Amino acid sequence: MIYMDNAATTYPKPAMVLNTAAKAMRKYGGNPGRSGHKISEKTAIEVFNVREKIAALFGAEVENCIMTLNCTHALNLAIKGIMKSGGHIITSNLEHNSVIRPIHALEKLGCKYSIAEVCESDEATTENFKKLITPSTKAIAIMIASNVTGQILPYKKIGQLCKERGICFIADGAQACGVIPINIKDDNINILCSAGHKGLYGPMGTGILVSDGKFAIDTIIEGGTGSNSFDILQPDFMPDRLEAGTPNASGIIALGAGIDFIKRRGISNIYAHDMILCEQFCKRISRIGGVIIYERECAYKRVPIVPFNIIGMNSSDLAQRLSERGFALRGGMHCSYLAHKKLGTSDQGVVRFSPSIMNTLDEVDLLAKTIRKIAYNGSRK
Amino acid sequence: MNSWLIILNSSTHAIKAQRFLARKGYKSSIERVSRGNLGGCKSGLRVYEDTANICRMLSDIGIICREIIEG
Repeated sequence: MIYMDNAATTYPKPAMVLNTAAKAMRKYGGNPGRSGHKISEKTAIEVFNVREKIAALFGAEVENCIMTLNCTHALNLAIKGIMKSGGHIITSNLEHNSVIRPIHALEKLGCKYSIAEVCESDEATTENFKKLITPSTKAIAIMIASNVTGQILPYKKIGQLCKERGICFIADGAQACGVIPINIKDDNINILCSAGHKGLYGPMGTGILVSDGKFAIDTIIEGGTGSNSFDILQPDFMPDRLEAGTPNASGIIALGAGIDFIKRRGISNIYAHDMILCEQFCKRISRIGGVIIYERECAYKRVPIVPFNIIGMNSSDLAQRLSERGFALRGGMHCSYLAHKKLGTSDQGVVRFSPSIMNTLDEVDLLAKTIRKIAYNGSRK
Repeated sequence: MNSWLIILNSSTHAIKAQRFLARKGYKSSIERVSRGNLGGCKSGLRVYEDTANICRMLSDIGIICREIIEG
């Protein structure tokens, strides 16, 4: 099976991630930050080492790097933690459900939200956000890059807009972290959320929330932290405030190896490799009759994602046929109904090609040939 | 040898403090502290000199010294 569904989760994982995960399960089995014995201490140090790597990668303080279960968990902590006391929040019309659903759920608490239209031009998009800001706007929460089209939103400009107005800027880096360089200080991001298991090549069950510490994040879950145990209140210091319950220590430690992997390879090298595969893929399949590639002519910057379809074939059917022929790609709606409404693909969805550093040009050529056969057979029916 | 236990918020803070102090040439070790009058479980950093200066330096990097216990 050739795996090209890396926007969902990267696979296969680098050998160093697999080895570190196994080692962590064997050697670091104590509950970090809870007990005083050596096994617990060793685990706490390993988890701390990963926090340091995250802090260095994104330009944050180590205690402001929060370990979560996934990007959705991080986004819920950020969005609900900032908006708990009410107010207005703005998001975009490309968002994943991990952003739009928590925002919509906040309506029950009396929060209001607006959706800004993303355009091909960064200036027009930024202007659309600017127009929606009101005196009660407390946050803007957007994806850095779309998981459906790959479009990179003008997140730095929107961050600047937030900075000038004292608004909290929450960035969903699920498709961007490890793929393009992100630095929360340089990019004006107050809270960065990401999966650990996508571009950072860690295991599933890992995510991160990285804060610049400027906006207090209220808790949405409370519980044991191994600190202040005599106090009925959740600790007011980070990272404990947002890390109730036993963490996925072995997953976190393996995520550290994923970060080491991308640093060794170089984020810009990984991006260049993945984009070459995307270009090759587009070149090959654009010659096939009946194949549509969405927004390929748009001039916006993008991450390595190519949405496509065969005319007259549902995207899930196409993904199924590809699976039967040995290719793992995702069809359907990608948990992003907003993006599909914008793209005009609400009925059939799209198939998403999303390579990783593990894929090769030969694999891309094989995939294109298979799509050609499916398209040819489909048109004869 | 005289020593002091500086009470910090959590193990993350204690490890950060220990590494920071090591870079400055200070020897320290992490201890787990569980006392009701300190609010329950805490992490402490045992140091052997210059506590006032150490706490000042830690404060500069965002680490609060909750209490200093002698011995």
